Amino acid sequence: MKSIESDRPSPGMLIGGAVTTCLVFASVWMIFFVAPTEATMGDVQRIVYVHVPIAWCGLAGCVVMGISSAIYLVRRDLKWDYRSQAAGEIGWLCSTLTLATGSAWAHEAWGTWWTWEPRLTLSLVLWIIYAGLFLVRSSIEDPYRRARIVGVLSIVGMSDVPMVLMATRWFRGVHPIAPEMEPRMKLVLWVSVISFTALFVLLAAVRRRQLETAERITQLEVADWSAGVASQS
Amino acid sequence: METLLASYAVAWAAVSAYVVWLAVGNARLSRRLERLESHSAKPQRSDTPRARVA
Repeated sequence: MKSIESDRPSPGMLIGGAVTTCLVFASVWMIFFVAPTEATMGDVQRIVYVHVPIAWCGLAGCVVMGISSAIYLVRRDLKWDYRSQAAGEIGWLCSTLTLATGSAWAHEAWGTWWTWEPRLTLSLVLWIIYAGLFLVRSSIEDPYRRARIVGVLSIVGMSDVPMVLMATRWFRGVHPIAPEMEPRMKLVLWVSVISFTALFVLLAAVRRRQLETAERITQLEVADWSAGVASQS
Repeated sequence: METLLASYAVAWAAVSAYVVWLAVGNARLSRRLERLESHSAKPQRSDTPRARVA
């Protein structure tokens, strides 16, 4: 039987996990104990320290998914499709949480859970794009055909990212563009962005590794089954 | 304050659920690998008699 890479995490991944955990706990501590309380909104403004990093990861996930898919379409190597899938799953998770935390923010700031404001609407479109890609992925059996079709759709879906980013400048809406922040607020926001990005990069790396291992095990199972059939005939 | 805590709780619950789902997936892969290794270690039924005849 061919050898298979151990499914235990590598030392690099364990170190990355430990550093990321420390960063995330540090950022949560800073959000509650270092960031000053905002004068108008009070404590609810602290939602921004999780909403902005998660929204950034949701958009970055879509870009990574699209670029990985483009590389797959050029090289036809399934490992790029696994990267695309892992980035898409993390992006979808972040996109869902962006809508949830944004909705909570909207309830406190604007007095409504949801409004058909340009950036919110385009963020919902991004969530629907992610969800649609998962539906397409789960409906196609052949991995190469699946990677090809999802790859093309991912590249098309990526076009929503610049629209979400520029929505507040291109269209009139109630979403803040770039609000003024105190230096301590900016520091906490940057620490949150770095730590949440590290967390989601780590999760995507674990998922990609899992998908690659699953594919190798499937290949070995097929080879083992074929060898069994050949020896019996 | 309740809205803030609810937002953080939802975010952490979702991320934790994804981590648990990853861990369950890894455990399933480990079981498949063990089954494959134990199956490959067994001698093939049709090989043994042929070897004896030879």
